[in-house]
Amino acid sequence: MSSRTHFWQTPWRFSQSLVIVGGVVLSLLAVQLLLGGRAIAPQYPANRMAFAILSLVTITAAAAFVEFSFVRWLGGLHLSLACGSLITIILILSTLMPSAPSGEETVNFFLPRLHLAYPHRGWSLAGCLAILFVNVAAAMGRRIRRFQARQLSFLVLHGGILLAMGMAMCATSEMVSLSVKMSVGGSGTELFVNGGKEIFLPAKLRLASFDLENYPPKLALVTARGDGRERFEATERWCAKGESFSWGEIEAEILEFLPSAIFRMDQNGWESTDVKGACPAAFVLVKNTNGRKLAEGWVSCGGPFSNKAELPLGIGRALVMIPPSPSIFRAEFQIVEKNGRARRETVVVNRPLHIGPWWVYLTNYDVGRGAASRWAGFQIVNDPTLKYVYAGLAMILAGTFWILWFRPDLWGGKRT
Amino acid sequence: MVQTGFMGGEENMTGIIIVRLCLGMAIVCWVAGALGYATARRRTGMGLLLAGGACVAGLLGYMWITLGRPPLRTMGETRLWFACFLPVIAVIVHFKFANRMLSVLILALASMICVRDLVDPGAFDQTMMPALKSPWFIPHVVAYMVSYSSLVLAGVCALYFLLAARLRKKELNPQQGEIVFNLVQIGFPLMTVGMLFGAFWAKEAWSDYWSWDPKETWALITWLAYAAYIHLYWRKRSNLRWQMIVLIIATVALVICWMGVNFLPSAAQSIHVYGS
Repeated sequence: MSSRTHFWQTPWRFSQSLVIVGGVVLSLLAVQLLLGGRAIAPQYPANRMAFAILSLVTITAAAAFVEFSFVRWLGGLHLSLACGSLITIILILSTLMPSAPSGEETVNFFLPRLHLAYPHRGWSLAGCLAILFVNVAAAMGRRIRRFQARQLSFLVLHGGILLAMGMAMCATSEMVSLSVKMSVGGSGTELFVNGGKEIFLPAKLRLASFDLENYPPKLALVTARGDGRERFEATERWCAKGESFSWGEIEAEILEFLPSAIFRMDQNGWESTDVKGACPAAFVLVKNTNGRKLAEGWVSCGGPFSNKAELPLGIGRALVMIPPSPSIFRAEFQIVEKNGRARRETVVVNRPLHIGPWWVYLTNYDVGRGAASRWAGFQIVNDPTLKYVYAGLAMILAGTFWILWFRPDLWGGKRT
Repeated sequence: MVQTGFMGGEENMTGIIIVRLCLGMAIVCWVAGALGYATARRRTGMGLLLAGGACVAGLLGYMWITLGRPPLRTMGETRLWFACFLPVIAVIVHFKFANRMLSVLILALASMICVRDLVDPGAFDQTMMPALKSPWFIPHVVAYMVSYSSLVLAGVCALYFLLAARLRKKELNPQQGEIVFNLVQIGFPLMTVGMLFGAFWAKEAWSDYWSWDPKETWALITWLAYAAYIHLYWRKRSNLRWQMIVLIIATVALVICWMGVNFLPSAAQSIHVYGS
């Protein structure tokens, strides 16, 4: 009798697992290439029912049939590693694909259909994650059958992975997200519409005001190069009255700095103003290292009310002002609730507005007009799965520390 | 508002002198500390290790005050935090393992990072985009940097043990596996903290806790790679050599996640490119 074993003889190991998961991934890629489109999760409540049934059935079946070699494989490390390896390959491929501008597909026929640049939209990653999900559930079932107190940390961590992963998958069909633009001072509304989608908020929203604060601007020396391009050397410090900067043999000193200025045609000069959205301007004296004056005049990055001003420094060189970066931008809402009670709330980046289950994020504004922007862009989001995902993430966090830190082998005595 | 940059060429000599002095002193301390450990002067080595760490910590404090923001934004700044946390890990290693070679490796790694920052400190800009102004910013980056210190060190150790075993034609011993695993044990939970805090922050700032941005994708790849190593380590029958190889691959993923993502073709649309 031959002692050689054939490939599919149990127990299955990493290579068999890799072939099985790889086969699933390739089949899903082929289906996707034929059908196109993106992976679609079932709608609520079918998605949550599918999640609950799949987890419970797998955990129970794995606990009941723990001696079966198939169950041991299903909840075993070899399948986890195979899934992890293929997920990693798909993800690495996705980051090697150039992203198309604004997140849209490229002109290539195959890439958009396969969703290689955006793997979360494709069936292959969804398939791998589904197998990993079953694998984690089966692993939990095996531990529950042979339960000991020390396995509680394993169950917390892997239960967290199951909950976070399952509910995040549910979120793909349950989350409602809408990008809207609102005019400053416009009328209040609770109905928001975009691209055929419409949502009703539990309160009327009116964008009362928009405000923007900038960091001070910086100066830069621009030098024309032989190849038609320009060399751009910016200062690291901000503009301020009395500041001086140097670029090799060129030295510049700011004699006057106006953080908010406007160009007066009638006076042919810049003057300070309180007008919202006005641009900064600086009066600069430029000398060489020998103290010889090269130029003197105003530089400004310009804005909605004034053109930009550069200071020429001879052939092919000029001193310019770089438009300032925004430090903070905020929108103030007037909110009128159903009972007629009105209140005002400010939304800034990192501090969204909460209205019932809805989160309103300030996302953009008219960059060309800056603080004088007449509109602001918002993202209105409702994710009913969020608290479950967060609970799962908290369990992952607790489980990771529990398993790895609270062990005698980590903080034990000295080993030499 | 403080308006003094300090690494802008000829703009501010005081700043440049302080940066070079602190980094130079840290390098000298750590090279001398490595020599101390190599010649079995463990107490001297430990003292110099802490002195070097204090130099970098002092520099970070100075930058925090001068820039008017936490110095955690650019690649050069995160490298300094990495170098600052390496001595902390070294103290744990010193007391737990008393392994001189390991301490020398840590000091060499920390010195290399400081030399890198001395040669190319990157831009130390005072501006901070609105999305970075969040209470999650400091814990997210600090947790990541502490974990990176521990995990990169584990990877370097694994590489050293593998090469040494190959050159001496000896088998790896379980104690080496234990040393490396203990370092991963320290770093992996903190990496999980960093990743999940990043998700909570992303939800506050960008409305989605996970958007499959290249940086996030590589963070997940790195996490999966380290998780694979931990599972392999705990598997009784798994081969020690394979564990080390998986750990080195995980470390490569970590370095790509930290420093290499900006160079990937998909980085053009990334929301994590803050300037390096």
